[in-house]
Amino acid sequence: MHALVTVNGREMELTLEPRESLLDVLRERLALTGTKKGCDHGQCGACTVHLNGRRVLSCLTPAVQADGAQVRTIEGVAAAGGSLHPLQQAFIDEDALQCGYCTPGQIMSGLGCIAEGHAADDAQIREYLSGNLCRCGAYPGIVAAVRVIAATQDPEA
Amino acid sequence: MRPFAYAAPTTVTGAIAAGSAGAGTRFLAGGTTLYDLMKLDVETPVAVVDVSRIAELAAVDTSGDDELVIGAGAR
Repeated sequence: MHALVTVNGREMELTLEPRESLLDVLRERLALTGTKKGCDHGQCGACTVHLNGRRVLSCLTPAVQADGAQVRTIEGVAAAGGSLHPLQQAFIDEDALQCGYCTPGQIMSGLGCIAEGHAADDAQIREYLSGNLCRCGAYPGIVAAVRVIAATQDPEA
Repeated sequence: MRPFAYAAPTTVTGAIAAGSAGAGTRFLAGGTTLYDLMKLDVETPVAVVDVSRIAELAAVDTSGDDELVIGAGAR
């Protein structure tokens, strides 16, 4: 199926097989390997991306559902010059990762959590990031990073 | 995953028509269950009808005095 997908602001023409997940298309065909495949069953959150501004699990999203849509991945988060997004910097500052495998998903989910206005306090941040597992257990740092950026009220800066 | 035919109608009428095409047709909305079970070969539809592009299902109507209508496809 012919599809037109805008990925990180770049329009892409793709011929998609209906079985392909958005995750596999991003990673295997567009070489955007920042988005991680953890469980491939929607349980871990590592594959979280934004589809038309809404966070989705790209492993459970058939790529054909992204036809005509805007997809934002971790590669589209930093500024054009390569300087880190404030939330990315906050993850470093707050020691919010150990192995880093879950981090792209945590950041996409954190951006969603803040943009949705669901980062009022630590309990709410934990609830709205509960779909993103971190087996290193860096949760206190992840919550702290999201809390710090949510407090600036400018998640898209 | 086994191959399947894919359709994404934009009206309820179109979805019903596509969904009535024959045995082995499944409706897909969010995909959390169906698509996952297809990966595991638990579900093996020959055709999938994607209902996520039907605008008339996506609305939440709060205009009524004593009723709230939440479309089946509202997110």
